[in-house]
This record gives sequence, C-alpha cells and structure tokens, in this order.
Amino acid sequence: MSEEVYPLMKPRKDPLPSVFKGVVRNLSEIGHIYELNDYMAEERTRIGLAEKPPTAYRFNEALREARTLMANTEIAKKVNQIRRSDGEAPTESEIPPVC
Amino acid sequence: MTIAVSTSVQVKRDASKSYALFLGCAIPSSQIFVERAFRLLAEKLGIRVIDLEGATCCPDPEISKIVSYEAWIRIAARNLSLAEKIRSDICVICNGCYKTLLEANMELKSSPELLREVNSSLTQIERQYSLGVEVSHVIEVLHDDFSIDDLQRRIAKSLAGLRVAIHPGCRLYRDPEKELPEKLSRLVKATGATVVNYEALRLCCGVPAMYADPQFALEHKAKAKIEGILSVRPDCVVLVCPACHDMIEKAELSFVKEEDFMPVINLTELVALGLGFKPEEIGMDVHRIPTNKVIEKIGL
Repeated sequence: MSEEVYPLMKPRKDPLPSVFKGVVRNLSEIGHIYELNDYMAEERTRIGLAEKPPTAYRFNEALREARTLMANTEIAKKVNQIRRSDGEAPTESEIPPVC
Repeated sequence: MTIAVSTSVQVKRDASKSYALFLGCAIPSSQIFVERAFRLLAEKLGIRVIDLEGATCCPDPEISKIVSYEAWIRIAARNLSLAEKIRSDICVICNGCYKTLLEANMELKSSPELLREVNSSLTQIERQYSLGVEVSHVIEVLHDDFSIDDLQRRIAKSLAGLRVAIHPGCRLYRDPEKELPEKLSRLVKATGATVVNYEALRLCCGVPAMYADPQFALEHKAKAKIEGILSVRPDCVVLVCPACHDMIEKAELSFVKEEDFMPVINLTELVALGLGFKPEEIGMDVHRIPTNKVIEKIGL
C-alpha cells in the first residue's frame, strides 16, 4: 500500500530475520527460548517431574535479573522494535529448533 | 580421585563431587523424558545432582550470540555464577548449552578485561563470577567419572541385540582431544547395544541452516542425514542434542512412511533403560516418533 502511494519510500526492513524474532523475544520475555505450555507442564507431573523446573520458568526473580543484564544491549533494542512492528508474541511454529 | 575397587577395575569417581544440573530450554519444556531419565540414572548411579535454581536460557550459542554478544556473555556468566555460589561444577545435558557455557567460561578465563566488564554488569543484580566453575557434558560425567567397566557392571537390563546408529551432533566434534563422539559410542556399547556405522555420521542434521533457509535445511540436510541413517537399518538413533533430536524427528515426519519410523532416543534414556528403569518411568510415551520398536526389541 505505502509502496503504491510513496513509490520512492525505502521498504520497511524487519528488525531481525523472521526465524530470529521468536528466539530473541522469548529470551527477553520468559528467560528461555521455548515456552513451557500447560500441556507439557501436566505431562511433567504425570511422568514424575515438578510441574515447572526450578529455572526462570518458575522464578520471576531469575527473569528480572536476566532482563537487567539485557537492558541497553542490542537484544533489548531489537525486542522493542519487534514489539512495535509485530505486536503479538511469537507462536511455537515461528521458533526454529535451537539449543 | 581414583578409587581402586578391585585389582582389575578402576572407578574414577569422586563420591563427594556434586554437579549443578543445567537444564536449558528445550529439555524441560518439550523433551521432558531426557530430564526424567537423567534424574533417574543420576540417583541410581549415585551422582550428586543439585538443581541450578534460577537458571535461564544458556543463552543459545547462535542467534542470541549473533544479535548481542554483550547480552550473551552476561547471561552465560550469570548462569555460571549460580553454580559457583553453590560450589558445584555444572553438568549439561544439551549440546547447545554445553557450547555456550564452555565457550563463555573459556572467554572469561582468557580475558581479565572481559571478566571485569561482565562482573561490572553482574554487580547490578548483586552477583559476581570468579571463574570457579567447570562445565561438563553428561557424556563426560558418565564416561569419565565412572568407568565403562563400572557402568557395565551396573547394567541391570542388557540391551543386547539393539542396533543403534549414533548421531553425536556437530558440537561434540569441536574439541577432538575430548573424544566425545568416541565416548558416546562406548557408553552406548556399555548398555549391551551394538553401534552400527554409517557414512553420514559426521553430516550435520541441518539445524543451523534453518536460520537462513528452513526448506533447504530440511530437504538438503536433514533428509540426507535421515537417509544415511536408515540405509543401515538401525533400530534407533541415539543422540544427546535436543535440536538434532527435533530436526531428525521433523525429517522423519516429512519424508518417511509412518510404518518405517525409526525412534530417536537420547543417551540418558538408553542408559536409564539399561539400568533397569521402565519406559513408562522415563516418560518415553511423550516422544513424537513412537519408541515402541525399541521397547519391543529389548523385550520390555
């Protein structure tokens, strides 16, 4: 649309390649790359594990500390740009296998 | 410390040594059978494991490190400092976490200036890291703290007859002197299983290519890997990397007929089975690719 109205406008460039976005955003928002969903939390208890592991999945203080360390880094800047451009949090399928 | 238990067998384990367990992200959120298997085998073998409370993502050694080295090294140092606070070395059960924590530790050890900068950031959260932690892969803990002879003696359920293709994953080849792929092979053999060779052993599963071109990664890397493995008709593939696990399963779901699916098993599960744990205790029914073929083959 904007390209038709403003043909000389520089195309909007995403802040990160799409496969990077979910990783960076989740690291900033939950302290881990993958979300622990309700189904897996139930499965954990079914097989004899704690519902949530003793990490940032369980402790908000851990997330707060990680966010403090990320503040003023390129990750924080990119996450703000992603939030502005994409709005919603990433879905599971948008996150590549990462370890 | 080396403890002589007989004239012929040496057990290398220091009974007082404890490990802080670093879980990472993929294992506790999706490959929960790995966490369960490790906890079970550690208890059975008498490995003292302490949860690394408050750990976060390691962070991942590719995307996070590329986007911000500063954030990557600070968060890795925070994770290392948690272990230092409880005076434990770290045991890692994920190849990616191993790479990050090992490299971050080495970089901090080799640069006093970097360590000073990172500790300056850690001060904001009232933490410090003084380089007092070593990072061990689960393969090293099982292979080096015990001996293969000792592990073999503890096998309650021999997995003899099970044909295993191993997939060490690229990161285990990083430091040839550590011989991690060879140790993985020896640990699999210690359970009684047979390791079958295949030409594509060193071929990457394709995960890093996913960041640039998911279709290429799946069709030109993962597919070739799975075809290489299936060509020697193993009963399962055994690995230690959650990302490789995910990718190989994806390849099977994309290119292999359901009746030909080959289970993808983590080393911790294989050892736990060998130690006598039942598949249902480990949570092996959580796998995307059913593990029934392996369970039937070993007669459980």
